[in-house]
Amino acid sequence: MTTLLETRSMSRYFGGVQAIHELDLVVQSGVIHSVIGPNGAGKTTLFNVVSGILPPTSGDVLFDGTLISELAPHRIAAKGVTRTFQNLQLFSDMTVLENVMVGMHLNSKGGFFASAFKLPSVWKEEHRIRSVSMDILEFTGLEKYASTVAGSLPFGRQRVLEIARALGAEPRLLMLDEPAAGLNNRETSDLSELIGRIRDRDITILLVEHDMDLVMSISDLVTVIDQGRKIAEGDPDVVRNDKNVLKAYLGEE
Amino acid sequence: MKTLLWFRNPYMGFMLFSVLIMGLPLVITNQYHLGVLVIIAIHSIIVLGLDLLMGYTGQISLGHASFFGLGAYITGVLSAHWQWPPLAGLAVSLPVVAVIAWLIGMPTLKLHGHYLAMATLGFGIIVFIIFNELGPLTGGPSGLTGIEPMNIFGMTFDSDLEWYFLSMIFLLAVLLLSINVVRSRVGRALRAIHGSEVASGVLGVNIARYKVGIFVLSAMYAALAGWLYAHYITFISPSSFTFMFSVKLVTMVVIGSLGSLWGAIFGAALLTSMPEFLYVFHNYETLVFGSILIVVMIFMPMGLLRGIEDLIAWSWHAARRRLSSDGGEELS
Repeated sequence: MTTLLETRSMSRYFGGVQAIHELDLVVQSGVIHSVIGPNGAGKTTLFNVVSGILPPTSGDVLFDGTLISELAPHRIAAKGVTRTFQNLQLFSDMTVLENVMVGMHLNSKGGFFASAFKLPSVWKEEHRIRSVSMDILEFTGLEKYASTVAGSLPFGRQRVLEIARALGAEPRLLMLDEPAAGLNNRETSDLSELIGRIRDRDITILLVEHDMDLVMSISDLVTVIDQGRKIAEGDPDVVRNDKNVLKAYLGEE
Repeated sequence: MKTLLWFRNPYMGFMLFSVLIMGLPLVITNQYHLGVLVIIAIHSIIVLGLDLLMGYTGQISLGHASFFGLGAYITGVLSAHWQWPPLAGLAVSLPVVAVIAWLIGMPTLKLHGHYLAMATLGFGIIVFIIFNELGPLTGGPSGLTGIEPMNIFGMTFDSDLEWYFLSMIFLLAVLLLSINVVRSRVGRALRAIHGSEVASGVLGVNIARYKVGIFVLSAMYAALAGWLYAHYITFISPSSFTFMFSVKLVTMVVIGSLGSLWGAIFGAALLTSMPEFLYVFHNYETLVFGSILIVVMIFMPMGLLRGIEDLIAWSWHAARRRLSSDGGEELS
């Protein structure tokens, strides 16, 4: 196994608040790696820093051995990192298919000039983008919603669409921010199965999730953070019985 | 949001629209009316670009009158002082305006917030002052005379009918380019930026580059329109390129329907022809425009075109409901 993502004593402060404090996190390639912790532990901040939306206050983020913490989000995406959002960020006026087609932005060509004059290369490329996007919709079970406007999808499907759109970018690392939030049991088990199939496509998954059953059943490795600090790490079984973890979640005995 | 069927396939709409445009002179033969239609076509070209910028990408420009003015003055000065042919004027004005727009867009569009609106507002005022003060070149406040009439590859355009076809062909070409842009990888990226900047960023869309790109394209549309205008009227003065005209262009986009190319043309046609219908109110033109804008924003926030489509869809469904409840039978 090789290291895909690494944070080196990375911190992110908001004024006096330490959202993340000197975090060392190593994500191996090819695994489902979960990050859990109580509310306010800094999980979403971690995603925001890794994806380039927020710069770290100090420390480094490395992807595949290269420093990415100074790069803009679209440059980090071009390296192979993409994510979903806890509070959905779909392009709600566009159709489900178009959302995935935007997701394929990095894997497709066509600038202003070629598009405006609809050069033959654009015709072919447009056809390819459409058919690959349809494949992704089938993979995620959204094919019958292809021409539905994203904003009018049922909530559970919107969560899946966030994942489908991210798959369009063919990432090497996919970060899922609470993908099961608001889903019912049936939808959650479908999601669990989908995440497994994504990993089988050689896409490494970094998962932030509150649904412990989901986390414990699919993760290869679990990191627990509390108040911006790593307090435990290991197999799901190890983490489940860790004293520090129980203390963080249940409070002092 | 229901849309009428033929708007769904814009290329079908484009064909129908082209046929309509080419056939219109069979019905409208009055020179004066044809002249109004030429101005509508010229305004539509600007508003199409502004809609790509505002309606699709969500960025506001309050300086498009000055890109329009630069397009007109560059070709006008070259033609009046040095007898450059119109096409040569266009070959100069398009790249010059593109570079100017790029210089304004680069620093402002990298920032979050509506800095472009402020920068273009200031730019518009500066350009207006330059038109006025550069007397020897621009003719100052009293305007620039002696611009050669349109001449393309030896074909001269004098009559209003010839001008009708010339301006409409340019409008149709710009419309086709715009449809192509909207329905492409570029167009999706622009709409994505409007929808969610964070999401488009993490999917790899270079937000600043696309915003600058569409701003430059829209400025070039305006310059093209200015070029047509200068050689159509053959006289230009700074009063045609004021801040108020920039606001009027924005109003055309908003009233027509943000994010709909047909809406842009509709808005341009409506607001350009309205003074002809409302000439009795000509002293209160701004007041009337302002009131219309307020009413549209309150009752049809998606713009008049969408509003009318929704109204038709709504009354269609209402009629069906009444029919089915009266007859006790469900209509398929």
